[in-house]
Amino acid sequence: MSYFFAGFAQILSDPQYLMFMFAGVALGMVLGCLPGLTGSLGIALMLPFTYHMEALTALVFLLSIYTGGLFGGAITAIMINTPGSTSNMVTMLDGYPMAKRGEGGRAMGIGLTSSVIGGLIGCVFLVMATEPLATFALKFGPGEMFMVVFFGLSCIGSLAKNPLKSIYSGLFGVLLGTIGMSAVGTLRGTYGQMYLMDGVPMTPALIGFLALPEIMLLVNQTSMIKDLDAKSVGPRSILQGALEVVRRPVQTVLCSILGVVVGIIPAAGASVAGVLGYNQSKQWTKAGDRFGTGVPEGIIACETANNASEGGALSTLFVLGIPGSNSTAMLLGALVLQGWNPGPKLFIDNREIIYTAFSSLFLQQLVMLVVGFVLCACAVYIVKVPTRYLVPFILTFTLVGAFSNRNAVFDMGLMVLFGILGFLMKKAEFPVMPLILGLLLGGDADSELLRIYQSHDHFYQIFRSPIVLVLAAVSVFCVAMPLITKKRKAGKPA
Amino acid sequence: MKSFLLKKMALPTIVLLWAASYYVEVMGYSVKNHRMIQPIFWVMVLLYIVNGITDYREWKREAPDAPKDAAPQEKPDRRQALRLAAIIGCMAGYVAVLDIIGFLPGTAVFICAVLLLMGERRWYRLAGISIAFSAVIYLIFKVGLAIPLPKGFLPF
Repeated sequence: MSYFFAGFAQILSDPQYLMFMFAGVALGMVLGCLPGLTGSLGIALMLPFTYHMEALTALVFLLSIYTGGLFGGAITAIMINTPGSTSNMVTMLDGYPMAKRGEGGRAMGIGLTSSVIGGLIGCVFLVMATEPLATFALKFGPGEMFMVVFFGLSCIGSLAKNPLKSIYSGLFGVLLGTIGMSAVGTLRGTYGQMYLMDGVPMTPALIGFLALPEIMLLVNQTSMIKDLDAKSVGPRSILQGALEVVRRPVQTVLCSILGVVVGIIPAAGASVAGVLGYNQSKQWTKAGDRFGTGVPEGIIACETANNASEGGALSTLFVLGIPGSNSTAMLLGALVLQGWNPGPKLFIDNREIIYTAFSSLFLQQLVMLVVGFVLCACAVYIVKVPTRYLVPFILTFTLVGAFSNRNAVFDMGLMVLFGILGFLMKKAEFPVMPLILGLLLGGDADSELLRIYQSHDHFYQIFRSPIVLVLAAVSVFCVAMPLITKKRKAGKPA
Repeated sequence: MKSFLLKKMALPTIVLLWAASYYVEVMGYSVKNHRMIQPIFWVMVLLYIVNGITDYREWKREAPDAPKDAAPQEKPDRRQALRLAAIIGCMAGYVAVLDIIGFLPGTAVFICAVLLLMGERRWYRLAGISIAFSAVIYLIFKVGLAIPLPKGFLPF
């Protein structure tokens, strides 16, 4: 802990750390905004430059990009219904309806403040409980990992009004998620396409299913919002949004804790944290019935959880040397470039530098507040642009974003196909978000199930683990609850 | 009945047909490849039947209350649908020719086409916005982020 407090003094005494923090957060946010690009791309681009830097400077810079990237995607998720990454996909459910009502500034203020508070709480856990958190992650074997994925999938039923249609859509997504090369080396559902060997790529799917249908609806409107109130686009609206978060402290803290716990589980990631935070908030908050119509609680749930998961993911990375996501894998690459050896000894051998980097994480959240405020204040004016100019620009950006994912024109075609399918699903009142969740987790569920059969004689042996039992019980509850609630409401007299 | 089949059942049926073809394919592989896919497919079949029955009952309940004056809406809806179809066609065309003609000319033509379909008629705005947007995106991705973009017949 002494290293942690000494770290603050070191970071604040040298202006170059602050300079790299501002640059990193700004770069991460801008890249996070752009569809198809993420903070992990920013880390990858800057990686060669960090070779000549000192270890601490490199770590501070790359962590800043990581921090900025986690929030950046929320801006486009809210303003144009196009999440910058999977970690912000659930933010769209309430952020975009608020933007359509002319409350885009308020929605972004909520998203920004939630991200900052979630990040700060994640940092607190990172500092206080790094080693116990990371040790807990070691208890997760194939059975536990399968149950985590199952738990994530169990939220499918509560993501839309009709639970049965949600589950149908989600299972379709799970099947899509199994396309590609299986864990035993068999190609499934690729139709001879080389580009599908690695599975259905997430970026074109995300943009195609979620963003394109909304853009298609904009085609026949002259502006995003009619009768826009001047007050709803100023910086004041962003501050109003910030106050909304302060008025909901219990939800903010609980979602952050959930995010930290999910973050420590390797491969669960910020996207699962966001979905679980949203699902749990929907069950327990008073505004649960209005989720999806544009309520502050919906944005708070996702943005606090996904930013707080950063704390958990970094503890697993530094203490055990296990990266849980693309971004943390890039960070590990940076550490290897600095001559560090990944693994449990990394933390022991470089404790002073790592705790100083943790100190910088706290400051990075405050830098994110400042940079984010400026970016949000500019982004909120998007609604004033007539759709005849907005639509071609967004379409081009999304197409190029899909291309830049793997430098493949195939991905652009896939995005257009998914866009048409997403539009038809919208017209047929079939929810799309469960499909995306199924696609995200389907492949992991399949490979973890295979590992269970490789390490156990029977599937039911996994239920000997208390972690599996708890996760299974909570999953069943998450599946049953929306069905029971729907039946109760149908039975109530008007 | 035709509107019910088209609106409510067409898409789930297409999805189920695809799932069935996928199921048939993976059942030809070893057990490890379809251990999870098999139960998922059968649950989907069950849900398809349940959703179909529920939607049919709902449609039957709502059908007598359906508005009889729907005909006057058709004309503007058809124009909007055609515009949307044309924009989707432009996107498909853009994807098809991008590798051949390159990013800059391809994007400029695509943006110009979409602007025309969105109602912009002033030639200077069509040309100026198309070229400017293409250049901005090129600068951000190719120059700023060093992400290679399709070249086509141009040297850059």
